[in-house]
Amino acid sequence: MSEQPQSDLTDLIHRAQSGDARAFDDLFRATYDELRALAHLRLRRDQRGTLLDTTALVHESYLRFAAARRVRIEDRSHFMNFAARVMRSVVIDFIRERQAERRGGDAARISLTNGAEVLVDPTTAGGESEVLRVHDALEDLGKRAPELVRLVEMRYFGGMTEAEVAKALDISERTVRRDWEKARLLLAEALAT
Amino acid sequence: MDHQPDADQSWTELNRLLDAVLNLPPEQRSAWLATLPPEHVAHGPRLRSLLARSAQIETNDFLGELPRIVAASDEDAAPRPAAGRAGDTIGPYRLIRELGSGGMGAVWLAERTDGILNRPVALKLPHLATRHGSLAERLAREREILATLAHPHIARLYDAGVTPEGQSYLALEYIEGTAIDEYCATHGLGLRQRLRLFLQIADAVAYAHGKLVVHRDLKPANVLVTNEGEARLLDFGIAKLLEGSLTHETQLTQFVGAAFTPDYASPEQIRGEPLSVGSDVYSLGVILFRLLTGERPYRLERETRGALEDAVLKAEPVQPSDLAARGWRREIRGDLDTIILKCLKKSPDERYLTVHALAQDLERFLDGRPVLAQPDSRAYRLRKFVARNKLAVGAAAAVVAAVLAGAGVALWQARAAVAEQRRAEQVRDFIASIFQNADPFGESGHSMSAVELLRQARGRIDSVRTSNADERVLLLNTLGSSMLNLQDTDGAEEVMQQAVNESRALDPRHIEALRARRLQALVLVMRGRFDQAQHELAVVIPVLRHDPERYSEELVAALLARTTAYVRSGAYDEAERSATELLNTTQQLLGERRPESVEALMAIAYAHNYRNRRLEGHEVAKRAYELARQVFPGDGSHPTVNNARMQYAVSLIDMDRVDEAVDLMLESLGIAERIFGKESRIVGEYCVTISEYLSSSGQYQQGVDAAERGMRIVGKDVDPNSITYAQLLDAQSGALVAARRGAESLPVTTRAREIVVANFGPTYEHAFVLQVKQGMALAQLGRTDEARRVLAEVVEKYQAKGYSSLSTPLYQLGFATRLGGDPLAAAKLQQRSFEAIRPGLRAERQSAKVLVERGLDRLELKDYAGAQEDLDQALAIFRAKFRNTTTWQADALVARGRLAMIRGDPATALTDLEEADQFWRALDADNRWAGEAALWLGRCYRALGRSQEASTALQRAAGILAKSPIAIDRQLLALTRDGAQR
Repeated sequence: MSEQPQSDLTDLIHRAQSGDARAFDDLFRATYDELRALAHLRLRRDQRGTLLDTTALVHESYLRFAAARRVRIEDRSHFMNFAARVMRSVVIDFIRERQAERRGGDAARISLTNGAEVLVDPTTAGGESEVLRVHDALEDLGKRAPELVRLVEMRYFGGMTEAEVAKALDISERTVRRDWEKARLLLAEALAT
Repeated sequence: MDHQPDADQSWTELNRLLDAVLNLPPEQRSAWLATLPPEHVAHGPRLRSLLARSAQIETNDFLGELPRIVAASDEDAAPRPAAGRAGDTIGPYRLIRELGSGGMGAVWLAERTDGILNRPVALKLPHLATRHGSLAERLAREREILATLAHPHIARLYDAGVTPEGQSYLALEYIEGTAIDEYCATHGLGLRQRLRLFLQIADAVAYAHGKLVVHRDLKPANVLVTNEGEARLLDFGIAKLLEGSLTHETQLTQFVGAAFTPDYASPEQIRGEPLSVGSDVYSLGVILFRLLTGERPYRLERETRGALEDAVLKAEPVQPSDLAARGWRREIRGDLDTIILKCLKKSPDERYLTVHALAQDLERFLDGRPVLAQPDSRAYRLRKFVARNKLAVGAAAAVVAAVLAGAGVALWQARAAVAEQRRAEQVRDFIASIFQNADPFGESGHSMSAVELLRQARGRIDSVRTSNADERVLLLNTLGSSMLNLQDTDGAEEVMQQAVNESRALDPRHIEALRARRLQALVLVMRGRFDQAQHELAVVIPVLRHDPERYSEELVAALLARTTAYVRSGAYDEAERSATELLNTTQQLLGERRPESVEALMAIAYAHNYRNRRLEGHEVAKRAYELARQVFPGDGSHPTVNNARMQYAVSLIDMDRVDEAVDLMLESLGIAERIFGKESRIVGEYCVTISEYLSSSGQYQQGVDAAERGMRIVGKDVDPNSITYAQLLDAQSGALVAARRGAESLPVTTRAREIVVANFGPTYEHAFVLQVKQGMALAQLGRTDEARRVLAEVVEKYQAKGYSSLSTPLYQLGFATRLGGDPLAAAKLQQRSFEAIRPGLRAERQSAKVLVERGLDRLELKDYAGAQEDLDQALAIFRAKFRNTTTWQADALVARGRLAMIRGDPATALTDLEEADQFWRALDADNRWAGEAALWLGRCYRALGRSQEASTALQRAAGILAKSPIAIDRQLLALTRDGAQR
């Protein structure tokens, strides 16, 4: 990943927001690596398993960027918006890797109650598959209502509050609430089938 | 991406409609839906189905949080900064060789390039993108302060910085040595030698604290011992200055990526809270624990970080002397135990406030002087004992502990009088001994039940050394009360007799004397000697009322005993009055959240139910259960919670929430097994009760099993000619009849009826209930003439007596009549049955059953429209009200399948018929109903041209129906052969 000159992230964000696909890609790549590195750093510390606290990750990545003077403070909400989308990719990739690893034959590690080493929380497999299914459902939903998908990314993957989302999307909190309910109903429907 | 203009348009409309309806508050939504304008009506169903989930997503917090994701490997391909190589320069240092690498980063042996220091250093290179200016600043600041830490037992921090490339580094004094725990082991150091070594570290940490530096990562790996036997503390490099607030703590940890090892981390560290001197004290405690025992303080069930974190946060540490080597146990027990455990307290305020204080206590111990640390309070120790021994004795201990805590709850509260404290101590020690000396397998050879635990304790009372009568009575009272709580009346009777005898030595107004009498009264109640019990209580209660403040708990207990006596003797009016007084008094004197309030509410609920005020009874039972769960928090295994749960579950039956009720009952059963033992009487009684509801919720095999189990457990202690035995038989026969196993049921029912008639005569209502079951069994056996006779007799009797429960016997009679081949008469009977259904919550359930039969009759009478209507209605009710498929539903499915075939629509029929077939094959594949289902399924396959499957099914059907004793089945058998469609 090449070094970027200072403050250009803001620029990239704005351009990406206005639909510049190339800017989006650049931005994605720039932050993806950073977020991914952060996620892995978290996990390395915890040798025996941890909750992937994406909210903290998103906030922290903002702090890093801000600290490195690559993002101006007043663009926090836009950054959060974007970071949530990146976080979604990080999480999904991460889960897929885990699943591939497990399938790759380290069966002992999956042993649940009898083995001495329990590395997979019995609720994890279900949780992970839920995330993947939500992800797929979001792909579908994105064809019809991409703005709802942004919202879900921010809330579910990014852990942003209603207020933060409202600010990032420049809509009222009331609208956020309504759209959040709408998104959840549609996703619940999709997941039920 | 598809571009269907219609689909897009449709979505846009739906989207707008969704917006509109979601803008409305939930209460107004259905009204809005109902008034959709014609151009949008097409979206109605979809909108409705979407909105149906609205409540659910709120309650389940759908998408509220990302689920837990666990890292399974530590081979995460984290992007590392370029690994150093020998000869590389980092700042003013040159790398010589790598000493190691860990979660935080790599450590290298290095030397200064400018030759200022001759000694080599240990250079720590933390992983991390360090383009942060702030980190460099922080390190610079800390370097100043840390460099001033000069102590013989602390490895010096010489230098810290950040290279222009962004690599941060820490230069430490290079120490050659072994980790302290290893050192002690390989050099075979004795107890006192280890303590002395430890004191070196303590000294060092105390010194650092004096300079306002907290280590935060104390662990054996950070304490090296040189060949000269000198301890050296490493890694003050991540120590943090003690400043006002430590909110930047966590960020720094993250930046530096330092991993604290949960094994040595304090609770506040795990919670991410600000750290202080106390967390170093804690870590030192863990180190000391390890040095003296070679083990870790917490016993884990699973070796995961999560389990360890939980243990650090919540579990009580094992007592060091228990884990120590044999030779050291005596030395460690007592003061050293106390010292170590004081370091390991969950709350920093309870630990040594300074490391200096810890060191001093250790010095005192080494000098043979008394230490300042105090052993724990009684309540604390009791909890600890239980936590430790729970692993050995299992769930029973948890229950006993809960029960004991309830019995002796007053004892653990702070009491002013010293004498009372001493007494409390006696009880505490005695109770502790229950757990300590428990033989995990008791007398029965099964794992111990709670009751057995207490019985064992009983044997030990006499060895309690005390000369004070009041202490002995107190002990006996406590034990007796606990036994009563577990319904061990025999045990309690003995104990209370002794208690009352010994209490004669006390002043009759002494609280323990009064308590003994009250408890004995309870025993009398359990034995059914109600008058005597009331007599006792009538003496005790006025004395207690005389000084309610002083005797508050005992007064409430006595009122409860009186209420219990009324309930059990069937005096429901008095019971309700007494319970109300109990409830009010409890609230006044002790507050709402009390076990006595729960009992009072339960008594009131009983009173309502026996007066047939089911709805009120349900409300109160619910309140009792909820309160019980608040009063006895945890996993709900306290006997009182369990009783309240059972009562609530039974009340749910009245509310027609059978499936929920069964779930709760099964939960109660499981807990009762743990409390009383799997073969205990009360478990047997539960099984008998539950079997009926299991059957009626469609869990037929489980119902039969439960009834059998009940019979096995309870039946062995019961006179085979008694009414109780008849009840057991009744439960069995009911379960069998429900599963349509009439052949097995008949002898059982007949015998049960004989007993009842012998005891009470043929006109006793219960005899009729049994007669109905007899009739059903006969019908299932094909002896339909007999069945009709028997059932008709019941109907006549009921009519003559004006009983309102006519619907069921009419329904059964209709059933038998249909099987006898007379659908016309059967249909009329079902009509009468339908009209006789009593209004109420259970009416729908009953009407579904009747409708199925009437539908079947109409089908035989070729009234297809009528049949369709009845069956559709019945199936709708089944789907709505029953979680599991029942035999009636299976009947309806077969009938509806047949109707579809008659209409010439075998494709639709197939679904219903396959479902019915599967149901029977799972429940009882040789049953004639299974045969009937297979028959119609086979014919359906034939109609669909699936001839192979058709033959298989028809063959199966023929095999079963050929053996059936029922008349109409001979016609059905013919249908398996002829190819004509019907």
